[in-house]
Amino acid sequence: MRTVAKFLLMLAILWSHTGLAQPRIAIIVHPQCSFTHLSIKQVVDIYMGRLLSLPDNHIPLPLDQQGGSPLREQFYETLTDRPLAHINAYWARLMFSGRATPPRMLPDSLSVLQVVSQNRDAIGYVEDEKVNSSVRVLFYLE
Amino acid sequence: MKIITSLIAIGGLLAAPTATAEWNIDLSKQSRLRISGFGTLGLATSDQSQAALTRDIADQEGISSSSLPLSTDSRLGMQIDAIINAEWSATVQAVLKDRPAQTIEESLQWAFISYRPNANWQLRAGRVGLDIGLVSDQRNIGYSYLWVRPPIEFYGRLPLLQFNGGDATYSFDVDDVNLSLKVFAGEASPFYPSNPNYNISIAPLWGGNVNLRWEDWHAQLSYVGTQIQSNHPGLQELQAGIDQIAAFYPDAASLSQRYTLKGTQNHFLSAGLAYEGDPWRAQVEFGRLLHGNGFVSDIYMAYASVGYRIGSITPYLGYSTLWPANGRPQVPSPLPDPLLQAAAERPFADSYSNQETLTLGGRWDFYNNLALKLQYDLVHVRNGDGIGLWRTDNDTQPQPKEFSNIFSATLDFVF
Repeated sequence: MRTVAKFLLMLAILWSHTGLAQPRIAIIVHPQCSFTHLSIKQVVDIYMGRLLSLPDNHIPLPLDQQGGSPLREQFYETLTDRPLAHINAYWARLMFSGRATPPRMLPDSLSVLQVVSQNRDAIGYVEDEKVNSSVRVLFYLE
Repeated sequence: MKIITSLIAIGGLLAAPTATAEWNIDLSKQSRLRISGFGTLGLATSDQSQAALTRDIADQEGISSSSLPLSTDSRLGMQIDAIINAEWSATVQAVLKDRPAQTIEESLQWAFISYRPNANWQLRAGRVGLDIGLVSDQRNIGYSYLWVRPPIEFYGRLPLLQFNGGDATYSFDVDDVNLSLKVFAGEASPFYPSNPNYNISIAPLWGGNVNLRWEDWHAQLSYVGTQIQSNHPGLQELQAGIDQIAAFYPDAASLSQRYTLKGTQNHFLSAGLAYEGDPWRAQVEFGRLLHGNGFVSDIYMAYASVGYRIGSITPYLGYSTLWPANGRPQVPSPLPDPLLQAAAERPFADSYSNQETLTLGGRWDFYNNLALKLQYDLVHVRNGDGIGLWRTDNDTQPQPKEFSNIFSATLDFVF
C-alpha cells in the first residue's frame, strides 16, 4: 500500500514539473506610487541590491517569494538568465560579508499583494492571475 | 573542540532547510530583524604524512594523511541583522572553526553599525571585514564561491579577516559602469599563527580599494598597510640568546635586529578581475606582500580559475602560485652554538613560501541553498624549501614531499 502511495506521489511530482505551464509573472507596485515605469534592468538592480533609489528618490522595498518556490526560481531565471543557485550564492556573498541585506522574503503571493498595497516604495512579483485592484502592474515577465 | 565544531556544523546542516528566521514589526516598513547562517562540512586528506598543508597560516592542524579530516574546512557561522530603517542597521556575526583559541573575542567575526545616508554612501563602524581581494572577506562562506577553499597560494599568507575600526564606501554609476571607492582604518590583534598564547598587536591598519563593475565583469584594485606594535616572545628569547654571544660573534647585533617585529610595517597590494557570467565563470588575482621585518621574505602571489556550468554541476580548473621576491634569508655567518644556529634559521625557514597548485573540481548545486563540492589539488613545493604554508604536529621543521595530492569534499550551506 505504501509503495503504491509513493509511486502515486512520484507521478504527481513528475506531472507537476512537466505538465503545468509556467504562470506569467506580474511586477507590481502601489497604485499611487509616483512613477509609472521601471525598466527590466532597474528591477533586476533593485532585486540584486545594486539600485538603492527609486525614480522618485525613495528607497525601494523589494519583496521576495519563499526560498525554493517555483515562482521565485522562474522570476530570477527570467529576469537574470541565471539559475537560482547563482542568485543564492550572490546574496550569500553580499550578506555574510556585511555589505547588503537581501530582499524581504514573504510566505506567499497574498502577503506580497498585501504589503505592496500598504507601502508606496514596495515592489513585488506575483502570478498574473493573483493580481487584484489593490496594486498596479508595472509589466509582465513572460 | 574540533569534534564539537564538526558536530555543530552537522547540526546546522540538519537545521538548514528550516530557513532564515525573520521578525517584522510592520511588514510594510523597512525595519526587521533577520537571523541567518552559513556553514561548511568539509573533509580533506592528503598522501603526505610528514607535513600538513594549511589553509592559511592561522590554521592549526592543516591537511595531511594523519590529520583530522574535518578540521580544516569545516565551519559554522550565524548572523543577526537588525535593520532599523533604510539608513541604519546593525550586524553581528559569529563563526566557529578550527582556530588557535576558541574565545568569544576570536569567534566574533563582525559586529558593526552601518549607516547609509543616501544611495551613494555607506559608513560602517565596529568590527568589519578586511576587503583586500575578490574573496578576502567571504573566505568563511564556502557556499559563495566555486572552490572547496580560496586558493591557498594567494590567501594562505593573508590570515587577517577582520579589524576593529571602520570603512566608508562611495559608489556611483557612469552609464552602465558602477564604480565604488572604499577607505578603511582601524586596528587588530589576532593570535600569532600557530601560537595561541600570544596576540600580535596591529595598529594602525589602513587601506582602501577601487571596484569597477560592468555587466558580468568586476575589477578590483586594493591596498592595505599595517604597523606592528608588538614583538613575538619566542623571537625575543632568540634575540636575547644571540645578544649574549655578541662579544665573540660580530654579526650578533645585525642578526638580532632582524627578528624585531615592533615598529615594522607590512604592505599588501592586489589586482583582481572576475567574470561572473553564465555558463562561464572566471577570475584572476595578482598580489604582492611586502614585509618590513628582517626575516620574512616579500612575496608575489597569483591565481587563475575558470568554471563552466552544465545544468546544476559546475566543473572548474584552477592554478595558483606564490613565490618569494628574494632567496631564502640566511644567518650571515655560522653561530658558535649549533642549537642557537638552528633556532636562528628556523624563523627564516618557517616563513619562506614557494609553491604552486593545480586544482580540479566540481560544484553540484543539488538543492536550494546546498552545494556539494569535490576537489583534487596537486601541490608542488619548489626547491624543497618553500615550506611556509606547511606544519607538523610536533613542532619539527616540516619536510613536505616535492609533490602532494590533496583530496577534499565539502557540503556548503546557507540558511
